[in-house]
Amino acid sequence: MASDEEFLRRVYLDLTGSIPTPAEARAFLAECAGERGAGGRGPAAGGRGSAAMGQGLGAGGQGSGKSTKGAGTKRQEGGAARHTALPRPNRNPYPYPSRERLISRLLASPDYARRLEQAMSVALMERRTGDVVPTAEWNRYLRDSFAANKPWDQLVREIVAADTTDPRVRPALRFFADGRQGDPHRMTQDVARLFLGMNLGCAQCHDHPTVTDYKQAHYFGLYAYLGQSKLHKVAKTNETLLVEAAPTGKVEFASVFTPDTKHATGPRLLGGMELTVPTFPKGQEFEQPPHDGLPGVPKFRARQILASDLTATASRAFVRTSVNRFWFLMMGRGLVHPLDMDHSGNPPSHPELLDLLTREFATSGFDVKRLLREIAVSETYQRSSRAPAGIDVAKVPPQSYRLGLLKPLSAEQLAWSVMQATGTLPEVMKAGVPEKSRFTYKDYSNDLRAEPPANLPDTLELFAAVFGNPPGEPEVEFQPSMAHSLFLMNEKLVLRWLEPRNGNLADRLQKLADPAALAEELYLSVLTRRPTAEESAEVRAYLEKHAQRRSQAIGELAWALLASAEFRLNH
Amino acid sequence: MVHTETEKRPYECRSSEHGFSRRKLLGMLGGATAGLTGLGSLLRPSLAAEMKAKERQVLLIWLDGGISQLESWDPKPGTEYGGPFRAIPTSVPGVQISELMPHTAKRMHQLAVVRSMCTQDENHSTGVPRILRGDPKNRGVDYPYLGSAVTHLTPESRNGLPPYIWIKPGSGGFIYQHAGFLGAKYGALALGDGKPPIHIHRPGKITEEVDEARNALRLKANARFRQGRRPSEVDAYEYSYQTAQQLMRRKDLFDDSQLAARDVERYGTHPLGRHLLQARRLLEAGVRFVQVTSYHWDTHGDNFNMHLDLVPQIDRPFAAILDDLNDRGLLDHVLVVLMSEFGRTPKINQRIGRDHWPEAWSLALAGAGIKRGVVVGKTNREGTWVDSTPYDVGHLFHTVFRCVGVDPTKTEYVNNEQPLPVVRDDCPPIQEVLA
Repeated sequence: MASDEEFLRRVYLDLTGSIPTPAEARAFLAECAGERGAGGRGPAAGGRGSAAMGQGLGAGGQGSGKSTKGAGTKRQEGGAARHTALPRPNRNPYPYPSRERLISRLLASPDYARRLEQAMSVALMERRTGDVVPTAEWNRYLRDSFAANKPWDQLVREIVAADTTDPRVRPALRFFADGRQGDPHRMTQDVARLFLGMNLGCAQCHDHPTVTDYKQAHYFGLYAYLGQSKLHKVAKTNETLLVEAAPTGKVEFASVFTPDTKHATGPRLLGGMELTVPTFPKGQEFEQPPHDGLPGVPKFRARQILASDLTATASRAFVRTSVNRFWFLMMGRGLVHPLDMDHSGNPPSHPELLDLLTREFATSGFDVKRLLREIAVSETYQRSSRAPAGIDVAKVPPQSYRLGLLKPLSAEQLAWSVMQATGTLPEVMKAGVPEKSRFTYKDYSNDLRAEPPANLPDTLELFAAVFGNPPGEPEVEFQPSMAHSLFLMNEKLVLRWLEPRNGNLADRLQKLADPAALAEELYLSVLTRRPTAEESAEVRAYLEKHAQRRSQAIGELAWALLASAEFRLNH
Repeated sequence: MVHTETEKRPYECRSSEHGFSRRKLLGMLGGATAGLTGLGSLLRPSLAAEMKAKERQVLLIWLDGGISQLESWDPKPGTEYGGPFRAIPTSVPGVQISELMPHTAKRMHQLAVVRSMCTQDENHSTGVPRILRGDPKNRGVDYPYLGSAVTHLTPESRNGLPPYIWIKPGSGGFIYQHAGFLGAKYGALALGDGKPPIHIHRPGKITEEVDEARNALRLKANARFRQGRRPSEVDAYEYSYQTAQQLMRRKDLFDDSQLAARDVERYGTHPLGRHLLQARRLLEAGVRFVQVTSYHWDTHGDNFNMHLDLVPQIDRPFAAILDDLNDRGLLDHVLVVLMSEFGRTPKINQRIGRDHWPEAWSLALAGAGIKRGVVVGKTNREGTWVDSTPYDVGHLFHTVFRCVGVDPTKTEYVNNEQPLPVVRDDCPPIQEVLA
């Protein structure tokens, strides 16, 4: 099991997108210590049991839970539901009430909504941008959705429907309009990839060459829902909409290997029934005919049907891939991996667990907080990333989840955590944001602008430009580059944050005369743990050696931890 | 001669290239663990044997916008579309090129010129990426640019320098877009007007001693963290620091004050000259792939005066870098490619310009793996169409890969468990240029 410190850093990063402040760290560690007697670091077998703790999440365990009858659960808000009739193949044997309380606190905090906003924006947009929906509106829409714990199916429904008549959900248009330029083929591919867990790219031209489950008919069945959609700019208001044309019947397609054999399909979700596309007499196809420069609203709108059918509880692939993506967010690896290769030739590592979570997620009404909570309280989530002595790490396959996986911090987690660690977050958050920022990474990196960013959005843009993936490239694996390390070594903003000022980390540290106290404050602030005796001695020795330049030496000690793998990874 | 679509471009997504079994591939790779960049990098060990010998490097000189083949490699003086310039003899008997390239003409015996390029796409915006990606078929993924592909497919150099450097006018930065599905690591480090990235410069307060001291602390922290944990992430992160530090140590590569005045004079003080001189230094230092881009070759108007001005800007430094690579014995290791995204229309438009012409154009190759002093292919009398076997960019990519020691018929990318050919499988290499 992960130590309290290991767990603390991990769960803060996963649920709030940042490491905790040293005060938060101290408070939690004191709570843990109090709970199981002074100095208790290891598992306390006698802790109070909690029914929800780890139920069903026995990845790596036997997973032999047989489905018990009457597994129906009541939907409750706030993730506090207890569903007693569910199988519990591998209950967390070390239930820590302090950990459970922390998880609840974090899920209820505003930071949770920001974290989900950032993580889901990267997952859904893959860092593509556009100018139809302003970034700030999209971010606010996502944040509000997660703050209200909007059911996941509803959120995806809004994204696919892209109904712009309701101002509250209008920002959802960004997914298709800015992320896919309203191109039905890109829309089809990404709906399949992100919401069905299937990379159907190959199947646009022919059945997938190596994945027998992925057929060209699947691709075009999905495409038939989206092929009538296109972006439309209303001249009068300059507003962009994703409109649907009146249906024109089935979509024709042919494999490039057999171009003469034509096939046709109506809208059809994988393995489901094909929808009959109704035909209307000319002039009667519209519910609302074109007027005032607005295109007509057809009576049959396939995309609207897709929005509800795709996200229905019965849409197994949707529920399953949703669960898999949230699991990935918390665990660093999908139960189905790669995330968009769900097919019979690539079975999940823990099929019973995935099935259980899938059922659970649907019956809970797509309660995201509850799903994340269930994962966070599990033994699997709370395992250490460090192998016990005598265990060869190389022999522990990542898909066994027997050891916690090392997850790279996203650009946003990193920005937030560097600011948090250096104690500069309050100052940056306070800084005024001009209406239209002139900061661009391009100017900055080409020395056309000397001043580093001072406010939060510009700072986040800088970190995203350096640490984020290129637009369109999913962020799944750790891909460190020279650009990252050059930045951390020599970026003046980061180095400035390490200079003492107004109660920031360096300021606090230089006021501590006792090297041991300094080492503890340093390690708790940056790595969310207390230093070992060896580390504390190292700090003392470095300070002694550089006594003449103590303030700078403190900055160097802090820099070394910020630049370390332990900081760069969520472990 | 007019080619029909099917004659000229016989590529549909054919089943043969998909005949590769994923299971077989994974079996082949069995026992290996995912390294820095997932499965893609696992292909390296099998290549290592093939690559045992010498480390091959590439210099790609890209004349963006499209140099006119008629004012360079394939002059047609005295014909309807030939223009005002003469053809001059070269160091290879019987071979003539434009009089605008007198210096290059004297080095013709080191070159292989292909006069039968015939490609798709007459738009810059789509043509440039299409050519630089090797014109892959639509597989729903972004293929890497040539520089990213070569650096991914060849073993990591021991010199620790960034493997793919792109020298260009204007702005620089880390151009990860070139890497496509290979992932950001294989992107280009672009030097805007030859300048290194700003973060290569240590702020004044951090002396070399301080830098060493703080990195020593960092290394100790990493060593402690690594114990009992999966090493690959920690090692990958450490590697990124090593590369960064190596670049910082080689700031001299970007210091123009160290250049010999004679070199500056030989290469020229215009951007292309300076950038090719910079390229020479990077190649000498062992950078795997250097691309030098020059813009403004898009001569829709006043084609002849513009080429009169532009062609000498490539002629002299191109000759100079051929000499320098040759003198240093590097021409056996460095493949040199000089090309554009297409050629220019033989037909002269009303603004005395030439427009885009992918149907029949020329490029030049030299160095590693390339036969010396050959001209491959020909165009018809007016230069309007290819009058020999036409070569597409797929043929060129096969040729380039062969020259750097990669056999494209035995090598595949693996993206998300999906095997992908490194280049179109329907084009053989241009055999006539291979040494």
